[in-house]
Amino acid sequence: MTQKLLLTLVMLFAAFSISAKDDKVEPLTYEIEGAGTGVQGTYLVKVTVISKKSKITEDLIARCAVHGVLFRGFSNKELRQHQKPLAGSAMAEAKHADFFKDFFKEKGIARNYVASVNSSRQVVKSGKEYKISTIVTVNKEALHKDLETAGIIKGLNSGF
Amino acid sequence: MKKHLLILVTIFLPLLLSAQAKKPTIMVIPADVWCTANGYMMEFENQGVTSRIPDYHRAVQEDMDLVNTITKVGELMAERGLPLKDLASSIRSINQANAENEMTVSRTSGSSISETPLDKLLSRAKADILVELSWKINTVGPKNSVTYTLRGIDAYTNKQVAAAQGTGAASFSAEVPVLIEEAVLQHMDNFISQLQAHFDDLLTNGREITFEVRTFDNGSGASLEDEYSGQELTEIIDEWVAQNTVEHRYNLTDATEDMMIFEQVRIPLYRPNGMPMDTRHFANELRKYLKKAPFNLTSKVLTKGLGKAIVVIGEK
Repeated sequence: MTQKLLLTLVMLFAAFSISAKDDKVEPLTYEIEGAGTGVQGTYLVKVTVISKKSKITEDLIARCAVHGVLFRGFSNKELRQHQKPLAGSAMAEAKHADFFKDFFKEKGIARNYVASVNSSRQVVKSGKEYKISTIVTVNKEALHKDLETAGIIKGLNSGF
Repeated sequence: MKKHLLILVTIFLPLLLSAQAKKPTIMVIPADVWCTANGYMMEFENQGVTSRIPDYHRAVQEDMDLVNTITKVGELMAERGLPLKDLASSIRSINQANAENEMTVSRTSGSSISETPLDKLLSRAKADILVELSWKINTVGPKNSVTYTLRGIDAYTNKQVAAAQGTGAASFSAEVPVLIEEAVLQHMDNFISQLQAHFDDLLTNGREITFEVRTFDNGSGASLEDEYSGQELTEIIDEWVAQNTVEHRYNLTDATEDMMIFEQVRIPLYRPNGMPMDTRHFANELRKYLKKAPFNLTSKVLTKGLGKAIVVIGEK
């Protein structure tokens, strides 16, 4: 009887802990700036991920880059570059929270819109954290088209 | 039963298929300042006054950079679902009209028709938004950079609805066409997002038009100061416009006994039956209203492109 109760309790706690882990959304801490003009249909951006680890996955860099392009926009004073956020503003993320929760999850769809530029990674230690910078290419045309199809952002001919 | 169903489908299908607002048309043209800087201006005499106007025809025939830039802008706009009207094709169509107009002379004095090429371009192409394009190559020592400007002008209200401007980073090695292409790619998204905001405004607050009421000087004595049940015709028309605009948004800028000029008139994109509304239909509704008792006035509707209508009271 005791064994049975114990097993039930263990299973209950295990279920809670798994569900808690699934729901936990790791906040994306990063900086983004322009890195020049990309070829047609792409953005060339420098993403600096702020992390407690010195080694981070390409997946995290990709998610940060796509997030930045969509909701923050980017600029570069030296290159005289300024780009507004593709999705309009950060409000769009809150408005379509359900969609973007899946979109930005680990190894989610966001990763597909980024190609990492080889040997461009720089790691700088800043206090207890590391700043890992990489120049990446974001396929903004495909990103725009897919989000437009999903009804998240509007196209120029929407409503006409 | 089948017959009734067929009739219903026949009535409603066209409504469902066409219940979309008219998509704004866009055309890219070189800005006047670019045409002046690159020697693509021509002089012509309009009723004794010499005017300088851009020679778009020669510009698209002779300037490869211009053709490349217009093509690139068109390609990027088409990718976003809004193909552009082509300047070169529009010019060919204007030339056809010119040839026809040149054959038209008055019977008494032999005078030909007077019209500026810009008038012809606007009226023929009927582009809702003209995108003015210009760039300038800056050279400092061995370095080149491009200052690039793109302005979207509503052809009928003459308002700037979108713009992108900036100077790119200087380069030692890049060729001028490459610098121009980079400038186009760099600025296009910001331009499109402003254009998107303008379209959103159209969809929310209605299409903005200019609207005029005039009278024919035909000796009939029709005047906008004529009274009907104690109200002047100007008041009656003013009230009609107020009732038929989106949230009563309009501006009566001028009114005399012979004319009324309405600006910033926001007409709905759809009629009550779901069909698309346009300037001509809006003006026609006023014509029909004035034809009814107690006014019993005959009027003529003239439109200029999609954005301007004139209702002339007195006769057809």
